[in-house]
Order: sequence, then C-alpha cells, then structure tokens
Amino acid sequence: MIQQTEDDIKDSEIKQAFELLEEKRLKQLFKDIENKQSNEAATIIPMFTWMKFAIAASVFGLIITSGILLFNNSDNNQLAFEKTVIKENIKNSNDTAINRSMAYQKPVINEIRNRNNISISVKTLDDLSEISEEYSISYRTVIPIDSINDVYAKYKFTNENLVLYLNEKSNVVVYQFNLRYYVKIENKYYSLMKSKNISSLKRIFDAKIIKSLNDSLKIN
Amino acid sequence: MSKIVSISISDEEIIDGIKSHDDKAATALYNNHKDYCMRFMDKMYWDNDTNQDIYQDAIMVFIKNVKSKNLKLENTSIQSYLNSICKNQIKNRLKKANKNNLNINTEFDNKFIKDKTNIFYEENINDYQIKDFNIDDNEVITERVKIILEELEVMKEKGPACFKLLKSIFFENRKLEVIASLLNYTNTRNVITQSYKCRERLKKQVFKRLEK
Repeated sequence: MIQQTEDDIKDSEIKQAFELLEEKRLKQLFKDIENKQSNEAATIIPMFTWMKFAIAASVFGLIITSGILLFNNSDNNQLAFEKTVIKENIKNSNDTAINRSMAYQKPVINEIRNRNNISISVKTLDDLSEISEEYSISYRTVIPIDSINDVYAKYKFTNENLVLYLNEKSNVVVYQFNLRYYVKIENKYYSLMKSKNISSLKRIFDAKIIKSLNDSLKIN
Repeated sequence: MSKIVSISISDEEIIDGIKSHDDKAATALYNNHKDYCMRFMDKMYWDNDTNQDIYQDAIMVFIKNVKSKNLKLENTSIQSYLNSICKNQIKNRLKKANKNNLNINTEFDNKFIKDKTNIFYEENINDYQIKDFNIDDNEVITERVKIILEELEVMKEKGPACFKLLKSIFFENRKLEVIASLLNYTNTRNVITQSYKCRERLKKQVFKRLEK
C-alpha cells in the first residue's frame, strides 16, 4: 500500500507491534476481569456475613418486639379493653343487665377476635326488611335484631360475617384499636375485623366519628 | 476461585466478535470457558496463578488463531479447542520443568494428562494440527519491533487519530472505504495521505531512538 524504502520500517514490523500491543491489551482486559471478579467475591462474602448477622438480629428483634407487643401491648391492652368495655357496660346497665352484659360481651369479642377471616358487609336500613325476623344462629348471646333501637343500627351475625344495617343518621361510632375496628352498639363493642371494609363504612359514617380507642380509652 | 458469570452467547457469535475485535466477545470467551479449563488444571501441581496464566495464554492462542488463521470450528466446540490448547500448554510447561530438573514426576504427569484429556481426543479435534494449540515460542521480537510497540503506545496517548488509523490498516485490515467511513475521512485518498503522514511520524520517532 505504501511504498517502502530500505530504511523504512516494514509493514510486517508494524503489524507485529500492533499484535503485541493487542496481546498486552487483552491480557490487561483479562486481568481486569479477574480483579473485578475477586473484588465482587470479596464484597459479596462479607456482605453475606453481614446480611446473615443483620437478618439474625432482625429476626431476633422481631421476635422480641412481637413478644412484647403480644404479651404486653396487644394482649394486655386487649384484656384491658375488654375490662373497660365490661366496666362501661356495667356502669350503663342495671343489675340484671350486668350479668347479661358480661355473659354476652366476652364470648362475642373473643369469638370475633379468633376469626381472622370474618368479613363485614354494610347495608342500609332499606335492606332491613329482608331479615327483620332473623336471629343470629352462631351467636346466641347477641341481642335479637328487632330489639335494637333503630336510631343506632341493625345488625346480625352469621357463621362468617357480621352484617350491620346502619342508619346514616345514627350515632354509631366505629372505634379503631390495634388496627382493628369496633362498633359500639347499645353500649357494647363489637369487633369489625376487616379493615378493608372500613372504606365502605366510611362512606356511610362520617369519617370524623371513627375514633381511636387508644386515645379515647385510657387503659392502664 | 472467584465466581464466574457466564455470558449467554453462541460459539459462532464469539468467533465473529473476535474477528471484528469486539471486547465483549473476548470477555465472553474468557468467562464462559474458564470454569471447565480451571477445574481440569486444578489437579496440576502448580498454583492457581499458574493455571490462570496457562488459561490466559490459551485464550490468546485461540484469539490469534481466529484472527490470523481464520479458524472455523466445524466439528468441535470452543471449549474442546481451548481444552486442547491448555493441555499442550501444560505439556510444554512440564517439559520445561524437566529440563530445569525440577522435582516433578513427568511420567506420572503425562499419564495423568493423557487420562484427563482422553475426552478431548474423542471430540474430533484431530483435524487440527498440534502446533495450532501452542504458543509460537519461535516468534522473534526484534529490537525494532519493541521500539515500534513503545512508540505506538506513545502515539495512542498523544495522537489517537493516527493510532486509530494505523491500527485500522495494519492490524484490523479494514478496507479504505470502511476506514474513511469509520474515522470520518471525506474520501479514501485522504485516508492514504493521512496514513502516510502517520507512518512517517512513527518512523521518525523509531529511528530517532535507534540512532541513540
């Protein structure tokens, strides 16, 4: 391609030099690959060790925290809440109502509390005529629907759900406690287990009347 | 040994990539076949660094063969071909070690290598000549070539345009039209003129050093 003289450098020499240069470059490339892999391995191993420690610490912490919450906060608070509810029921009831209140209240709350899958549906009073004569089958302690004051609400329990028949003008208050919701009907608290249904509750109730039991009940 | 991340790429793509001087192909070649070769060489007497050197040399031989001999793998895979190169590298090193009276049992090693490498012979690699698997130790690198190499490195830093142009012509063997297009020259005549100037520049520097 290019005319060469005797004193000129040869094409083959330039070619060979480029080949050696390329060899050098590739060796550096492979060295970089090795270094990168070594660095990654060196980073990953301590990271795994650190992660193992962090996970172990987190799990331990979670167990401890859960334990404290379960035993000190949730359980104790729940018991305290029930006691408060019962006390409140007693305070608001006559003597004959005391026994009935205590008898009614605790089994209902316990039963509902143990049912994680319970669903709540909310209907308006317009639907009440359909079931006006019904009684709860599962919860014999629940007051018959027709004995509830229309001002507040109508409700029934079935095996799987609590149906509230609500009057939009009613004074029913929904309480929030430990991420659960309770409704107070005739001075009794009933658990509303599914928080996702609260959105439908909110549509019916004024959001302002959803109170936090943590604030409203001063539990010792 | 550090973990090797394999890159999903076929043998044909690797060879095509190497022919077009693609570093991704070289990286894939290096990563994808290292594990198998290193496992085979782990049984050798020498340390991991030596095995790594052998493997790198094998890769260099492979790349050189692909580029210069237009290697086509019709009846075998890259892995088999690389294994054969590694095997010959090991043999050569053992021979050298024997010559230097190093305490290595060659008879055992040769038997061991033969046992371990039987699989390679079964993979139709006999079509290749044994010299294809060796590094060309007879390649003479003259003082002039060494100086050219050093001056090209200087040129790469100080005059990258010239370096790219000469590399395209002498190493990548690209056509003038392709070079003009890749390096933004208006026509092939400009490529020739500029390459002459660059060559003269290199020559000047080389002879300046040779005269010293």
